[in-house]
Amino acid sequence: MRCLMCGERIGTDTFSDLFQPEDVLCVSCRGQWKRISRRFRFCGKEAYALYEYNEAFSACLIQFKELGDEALKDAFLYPDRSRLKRMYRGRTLLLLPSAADKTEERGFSHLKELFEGTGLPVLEPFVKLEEGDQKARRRRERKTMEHGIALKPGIRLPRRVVLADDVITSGSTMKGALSVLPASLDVRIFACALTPKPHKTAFLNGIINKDIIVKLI
Amino acid sequence: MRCPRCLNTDRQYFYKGSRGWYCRKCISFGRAMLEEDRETAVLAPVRAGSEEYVLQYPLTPLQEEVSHKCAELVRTTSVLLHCVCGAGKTELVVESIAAALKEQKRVCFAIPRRQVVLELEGRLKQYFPHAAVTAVCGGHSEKLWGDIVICTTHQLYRAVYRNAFDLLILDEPDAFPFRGNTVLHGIAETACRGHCIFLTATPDDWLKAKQKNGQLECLKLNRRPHGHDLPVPVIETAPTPVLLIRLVQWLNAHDSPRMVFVPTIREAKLLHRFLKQFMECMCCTSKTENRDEVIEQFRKTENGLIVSTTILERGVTIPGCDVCVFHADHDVFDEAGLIQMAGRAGRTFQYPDGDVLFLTASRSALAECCRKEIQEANQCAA
Repeated sequence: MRCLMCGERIGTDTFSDLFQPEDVLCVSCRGQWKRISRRFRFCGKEAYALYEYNEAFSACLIQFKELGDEALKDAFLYPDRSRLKRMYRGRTLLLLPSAADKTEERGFSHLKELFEGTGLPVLEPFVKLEEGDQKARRRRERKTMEHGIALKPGIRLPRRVVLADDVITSGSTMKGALSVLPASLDVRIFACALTPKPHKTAFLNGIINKDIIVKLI
Repeated sequence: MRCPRCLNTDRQYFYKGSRGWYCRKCISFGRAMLEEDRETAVLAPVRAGSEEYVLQYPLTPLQEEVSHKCAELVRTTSVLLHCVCGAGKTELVVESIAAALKEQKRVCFAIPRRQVVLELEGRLKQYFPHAAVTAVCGGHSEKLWGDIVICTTHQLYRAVYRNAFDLLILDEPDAFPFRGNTVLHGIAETACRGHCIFLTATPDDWLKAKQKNGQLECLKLNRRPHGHDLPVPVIETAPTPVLLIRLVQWLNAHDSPRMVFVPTIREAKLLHRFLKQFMECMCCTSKTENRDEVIEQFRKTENGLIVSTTILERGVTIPGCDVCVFHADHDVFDEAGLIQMAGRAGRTFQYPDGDVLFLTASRSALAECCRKEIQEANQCAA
């Protein structure tokens, strides 16, 4: 097998390989992701995040989402898939929405592919009302669009759910989704990555763009 | 299976997504599906009269000979112009470009580095006053088409350029990031439907292999336009502290612009700090933010001193400069790099000679190879 990011061989053929956990990324690629496994409260709900949103994670996510490299779908949750299944047993994952035109352009729903590997039931109950590229907006602007999210009409929600997203950046999408869910639900929150303090994310300014790799050179 | 864009055939890089198979090797340029309908873009024809050119200086008889031969050969095959540093490679292909434009052929000049694209745009605009010269690189990609396109090798990935060019000129194909990059090699190949001209002073193994297979015709020019020999490097070996003293001594003995190359960024910083105590000194590495300004400033001063990493090893002409490579035995340097760095010296008519000094902490076969290569080139030319 080869690492999904760098193409290095991940073997089972040397002695030291026996002690490595099974993974789709090689040790050095995985090592660049900053593992935090943080449990925290988000709007009073129990929330959990696996990684810090750093450069390596964002590079992988961009390749997956923006460049459409579907092979990377396992890279995010592979080492944690069975643990998540145990942790959220009996719950349904509610995936946060992306803009319809984005999904159309990609040709696949990236969150669905990302979370399918866990084996938990997955539902996409939300629609995004506002058009346009969310990432291009400034942080302040994103805070005002909390209610750009609605439930699909006529959808039936299970009682125990997990709101799941790839990254929690400003948290506004998550808040918007929370605000349209009925209060009677037992809600938890999960994200693969969490943005650290704002000064650490300077590298993100305006780089989420298809041409990024080309532009840098 | 074969990727239509980067020509990759390694099965491990193909993946079947929801819309079918795609290539993961060149994924950083966006997803290329294998069975995609590829329409060839309809491009504006080359305008008549764009082939007229004026050179700033007339070519020397030697240059003229190579230039004619190149224009002749490239009609039927790809050409490697193996010319020493400072031989005026760009001027040598002007005739070939003009010949191609006259036949309404599409011409592209592809360069690994962005800075050089913009510089060359200005030069070619002077040479071809009636042609539309378009530069395409990071930050300049609104207009993608002209009679002559100048771009970074990365930009060739664009769908518009697929099979678009009858004459593709690759400048310094042995430089980073083009060197050894199979994705970029493939992309360049798909962009060109006619023949290529490769311009370099130091062909790498890929080019040598091509030449061996007979895919490439090689033309050599071992003499600079001013007719002087290439400066041959002097190699001195000593422990590092002695080298430092020797370096200061050498720097004091020259009152021309002096470039000191070092292998690593760290070493550049340290040496810069050390030399600053004795004389005025600039520093240029890939981490330097105002790089262009620093180089500009260095150009202006008559006897400046700059400490640089390999970042300035190519494409820079400083009139009358002398070159020292510090720790030339370091693994970072390869023979091509050393030849290029030595080639910074003595490039102009006013100062056709220059001093090149290699300081090594241990005996280095590479440095000696480089010296031999330069001496051979001088002998061939004589």
